[in-house]
Amino acid sequence: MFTIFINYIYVVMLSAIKSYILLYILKGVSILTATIITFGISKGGCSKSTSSGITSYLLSQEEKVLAIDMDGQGNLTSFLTGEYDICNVFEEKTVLEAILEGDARPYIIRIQDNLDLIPSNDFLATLPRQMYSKRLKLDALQKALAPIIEDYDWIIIDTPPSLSEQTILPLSTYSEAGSHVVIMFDGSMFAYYAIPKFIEMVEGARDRYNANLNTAGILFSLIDARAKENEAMLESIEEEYPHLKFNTVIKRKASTRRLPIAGFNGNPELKNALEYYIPFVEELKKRVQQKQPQR
Amino acid sequence: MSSKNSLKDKIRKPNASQAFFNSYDANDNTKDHKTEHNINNDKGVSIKDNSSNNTTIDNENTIKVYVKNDDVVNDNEYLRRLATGKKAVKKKPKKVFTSFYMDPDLASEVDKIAARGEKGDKSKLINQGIRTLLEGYGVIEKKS
Repeated sequence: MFTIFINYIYVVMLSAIKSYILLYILKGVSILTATIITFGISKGGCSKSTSSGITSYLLSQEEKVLAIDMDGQGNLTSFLTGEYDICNVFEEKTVLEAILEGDARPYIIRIQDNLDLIPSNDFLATLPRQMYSKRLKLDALQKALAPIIEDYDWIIIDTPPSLSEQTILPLSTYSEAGSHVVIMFDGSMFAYYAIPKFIEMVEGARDRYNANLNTAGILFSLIDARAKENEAMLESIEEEYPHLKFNTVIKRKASTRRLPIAGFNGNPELKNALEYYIPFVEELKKRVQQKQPQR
Repeated sequence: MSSKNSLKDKIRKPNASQAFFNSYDANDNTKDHKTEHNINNDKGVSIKDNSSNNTTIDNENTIKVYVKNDDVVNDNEYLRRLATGKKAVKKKPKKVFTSFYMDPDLASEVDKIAARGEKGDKSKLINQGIRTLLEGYGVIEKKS
């Protein structure tokens, strides 16, 4: 009887050890770096900050997300933190310091479970000058993110509407899991002519720094969904950039605009506010074909 | 590349994005150039400062070219002066400082090779490669 008991214990222990070894191996195999999504266009007011904030929130419902604000206006920072006095509250605790020091870890703040943020404020305007004096190159953000890139499933980056270091650094940030660009488009002529310029930036970054960079698509975020020129714009984009337009079209709503006031948690009109973004995020995930799980 | 495409590339001006990236390339090259200058100085060799003599030329197919206006003095002359106890002044050979686009795989290999050598080996490798090619084409004469 005692021998049977010992044998039983032996078998249980052996199977437990086997399971641990298998889990360890599988864990090692399945680790991937984060997929990077950069929202951009060289025109303001196209919903870059809103879209990157909502996308970060939606992705964080199931996976681990790091949002990075590369716009000195700090709208994404305010959106996710609810804090508008960004110059004082985040003084010397922003993406600027992360880039200059080459390590993002001390500058990550927790927004909620699965959602972190590296904030920015107006001092980000000094980035080009400081990069020059420190002889930093356009892979500076990649170096800063290197210690944490495996800690996240997604890195979502908001950029300013300009050709500048703040825009090019994210585009030049390589990830083994892929770097993708979502080009925002508000249906205006200004935005229409900003698209090729932004694509030039993407191509420049891909050629020199980030061979893994792809354009995930062009996302329409229409101010007035009934405007008569919308259909012509849709067709023009389809013809000019075949297969790039996301099927989902964001129609701007008051409830979405109120999100920075009401926040995500406990917001009674959240479902309405996110109506168009939920299918967009699903489409985005399919387009970038992220392998899961990350850990 | 066809001659037509080559001409088109020469005619086209770089767009703003290319100019932005090029500005970083130019910074890198200028930094390398300065570093090389300092290294030579550390070796105790007197070098005439020609930075003010650099001529900037807007090159048709690349970015900028800096031409150094030094007289070419070969190493033999320098060593002869050194051996006979005369003041040894070594001027840098005439060089053209340029930048250009490389295929990523070639750039990677060149960087790997240069990493194993010392300062200036990358330029020597590129020069040797192009020299061999052009000698093979019969465009330039073989160096004795």
